[in-house]
Amino acid sequence: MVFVFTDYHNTYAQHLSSARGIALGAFSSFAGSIGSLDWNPAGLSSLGNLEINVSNFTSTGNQSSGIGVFNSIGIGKKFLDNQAAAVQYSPGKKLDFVLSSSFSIFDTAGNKVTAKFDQKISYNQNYSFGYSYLFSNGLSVGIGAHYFETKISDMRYRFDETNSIQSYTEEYTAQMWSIDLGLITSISEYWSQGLTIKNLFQFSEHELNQKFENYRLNLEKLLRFGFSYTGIDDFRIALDGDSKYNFQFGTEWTPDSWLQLRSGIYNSKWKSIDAVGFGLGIIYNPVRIDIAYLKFPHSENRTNTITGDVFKSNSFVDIDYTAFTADRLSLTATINLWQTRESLARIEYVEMLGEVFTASHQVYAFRPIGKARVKNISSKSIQAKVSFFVEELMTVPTDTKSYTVSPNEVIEIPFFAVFNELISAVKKFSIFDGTVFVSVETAADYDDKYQTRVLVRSKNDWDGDPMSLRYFITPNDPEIIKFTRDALSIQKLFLDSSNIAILDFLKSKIIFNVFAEKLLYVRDPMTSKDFVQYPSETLSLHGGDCDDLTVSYASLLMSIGISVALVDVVPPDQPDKAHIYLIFDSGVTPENGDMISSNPKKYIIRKNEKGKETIWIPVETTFVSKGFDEAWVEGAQQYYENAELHSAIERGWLRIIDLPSGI
Amino acid sequence: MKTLNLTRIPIFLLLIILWHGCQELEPVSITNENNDTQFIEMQTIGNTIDSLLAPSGVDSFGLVGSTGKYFARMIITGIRNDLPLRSDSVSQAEAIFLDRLNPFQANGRTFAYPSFDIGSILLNGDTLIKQQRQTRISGKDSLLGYRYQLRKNYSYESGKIYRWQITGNGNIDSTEISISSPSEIRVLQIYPQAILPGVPLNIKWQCTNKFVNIVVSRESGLQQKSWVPIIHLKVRNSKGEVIIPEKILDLLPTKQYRRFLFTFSSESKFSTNLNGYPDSVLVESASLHNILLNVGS
Repeated sequence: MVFVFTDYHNTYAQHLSSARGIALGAFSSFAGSIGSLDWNPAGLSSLGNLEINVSNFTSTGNQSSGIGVFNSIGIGKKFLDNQAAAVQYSPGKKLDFVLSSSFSIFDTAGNKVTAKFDQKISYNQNYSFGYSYLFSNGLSVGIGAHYFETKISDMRYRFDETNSIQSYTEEYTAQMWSIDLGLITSISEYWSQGLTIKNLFQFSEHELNQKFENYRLNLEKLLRFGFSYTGIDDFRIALDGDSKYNFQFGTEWTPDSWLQLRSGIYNSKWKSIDAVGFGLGIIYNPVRIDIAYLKFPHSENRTNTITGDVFKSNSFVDIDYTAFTADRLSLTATINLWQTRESLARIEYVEMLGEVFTASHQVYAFRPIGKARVKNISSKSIQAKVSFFVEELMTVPTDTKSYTVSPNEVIEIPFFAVFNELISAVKKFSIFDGTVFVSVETAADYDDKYQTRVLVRSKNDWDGDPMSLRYFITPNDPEIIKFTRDALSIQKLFLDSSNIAILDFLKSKIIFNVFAEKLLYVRDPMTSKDFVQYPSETLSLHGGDCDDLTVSYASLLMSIGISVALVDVVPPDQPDKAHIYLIFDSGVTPENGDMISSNPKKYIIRKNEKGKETIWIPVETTFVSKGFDEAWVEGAQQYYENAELHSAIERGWLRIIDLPSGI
Repeated sequence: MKTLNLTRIPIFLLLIILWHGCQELEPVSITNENNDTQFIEMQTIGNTIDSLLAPSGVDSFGLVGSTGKYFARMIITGIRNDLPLRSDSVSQAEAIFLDRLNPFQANGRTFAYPSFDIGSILLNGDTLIKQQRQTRISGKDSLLGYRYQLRKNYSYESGKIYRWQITGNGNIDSTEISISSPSEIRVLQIYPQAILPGVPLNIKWQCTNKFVNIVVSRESGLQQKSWVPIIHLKVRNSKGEVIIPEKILDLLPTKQYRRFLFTFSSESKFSTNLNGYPDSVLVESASLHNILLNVGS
């Protein structure tokens, strides 16, 4: 490969405002940070929430003694989630020319007094401003404005009072604005492309004196395009080109989350390599340090001297990278003051699956309390999970498992709730604020949150689902235990002398009769869904409806270890006459059925939780005032008619719900 | 979730970057088209009364050798004139030996030096005319001394040896001094042909001497026939041409004076000592070309 130096008349379009960009060479398709102001203003959309950027460089070629040249300092801010703006002060973006004096001056004593220059021409890009807007489809557009100042220092001479020649300087300045437009978009998850029009518009604030018209800064319009690909693990490949047939190719390797290694090639008109770049980036949040070395292979041809004709014919796209730029080591530090992570997921909608009934609040640890519609708004697949939190009723948010969501995919994630004991204190229908969060895995923060209303029923409210009745059954309630102990202790002598085979049956009968002495059947005090009293409440109130009595009797039986099942009957032609009663495991084996009744239609033979067939006794608890025998007969009759005669079980309008012993 | 995080910001890193960024890049030098710089040395000419030139009695028309301060001079010149009313060539030989140790003073200031009578002076066998120098002191004409001149009938040739012979008088001994005359200078072209504001003068000449001197003079306000030098330029004669920058021309008082005399000279000189004369003697041979330029607008 032969390297050929390109002559002065090329128009260069690269920028040296970002060490990352310098090392890569190709930066316009994904330019981020405040360096975007020069490369592609649309890249400002990648800014952190509040960024400060400082840049310095040292040149090995044409530099005065010292360590570094202060290049620029900038600040940028993101606002309203999809807009960003930045401003940069760049005293180091400077290109100076000096026309040496063509004569020497001797004072009257014969001492030589040489002027430093005849004319000095300085071009400065002092300030830059930029703004970008990110559309919902991932397209980012931006505009950049650059403020240039041209300053001419013209050395003049005059005689002083002693007739000695004295020099003085006349200054002339001109100011102008140059406007860039840019856009960045993602073709797919791995591809991004950028387009920049440099110096599209130029406005002069103040023109130079006509005699210096030749020194007017001439910024050429330029179209730059770029592509970037990140489909290879840990690698990014980028390519930039422009309308002057200059191309740059760069690669970036991220072996670890804190380190990036880069290289780039600057090619001129496909004929020669003008420069190569190397660099690395060190990321230690919130600071990022980028270092780059730009090397011109034929730097011996890059002299710091040109002729006047060449100077007049030269044109620039930017005063950063020119035919006079020498090898350079650049350092850029970026500090993210107000740290934020790019949101990858968004909650589109939250639906609460009904009201929360205090009595059955435990069920929401396993049964979804709501569902969130979550969308992946990033360009990569994510692992998303949802958290739900009601500050007044929960100790910590309840998280779901992680769900894989493809780019732009929307999924429904059911979420749950683990309430603490504070929910039991809810005495009446109340509305609480609940918050639903969505987080992407490995992120410390959430990506989005959604406020929703959580309707919490009082502790006695019941949703009408027989399955939920079990939450009202409290066999371990001290009052229930005391009741049963007291009831059985009275009949201790009788029970001690009774046949052990029917002991549970006898106990159940005794408890019911004692229960019957103290309670009355009454209707619900309110009819929202239904109102269920806890057994302790029924005992203290001395009454309740069928649900209350069933729940209470079931609690009493279960407190002495007798298995109970609820019988839920919903007549298909009369659903408003739905009814619940219970059956209990008498513990009597079928062959001993005669010991409790000679009529087999009065009882049900079914397997208990141990798998053993036993006799189960149906009891209509609303017949509580008539005593056990009457309640038994009524319950048996109902069961026989529904289950045996009408095949209600097979037809699905009679359910037997076993109550687990661990309630 | 956004967090404001200032505790981990390494402020010292920012300070380091800013601290070491206090240098500036050297500017790019713009040279002339041929990458060849002109060599022009410019010197002002003092106009104090102590200046050798004013009281010397030497006609500044044809002025030479304003550098250095010699109290004795022996000069042979060939002068070409291109003036509005005069275009000719003359030759001139002159010598003067000032007495530095006995100046004429008034009000504490030196206004003239007397000059010695050193007998006779011959140049290549031709005797220079001894002339008295007069001045007025306290209302009375006083004799300042003598100067020696030879004009018109004297010919100047380039590359010729001129031999000075001094007979001596009093303390000053007789002596002989020879000098070779330099290449003749002839200005071929001046463009533009006037002094214009902001416009440099492009000048071409014919001369083989290594250096060319240019003295720019203004008219004397008192005597229209005499000229007061303002600027002396010494130019390296590498290509027989020079561009006098407009910045040098801007020094000329063009608002007060409408024309200036440009005297181009090719010189050969050296200094020597004369027995009995306390100071050095400048021995010079020069070819001059005088051109008058008007101030344009």
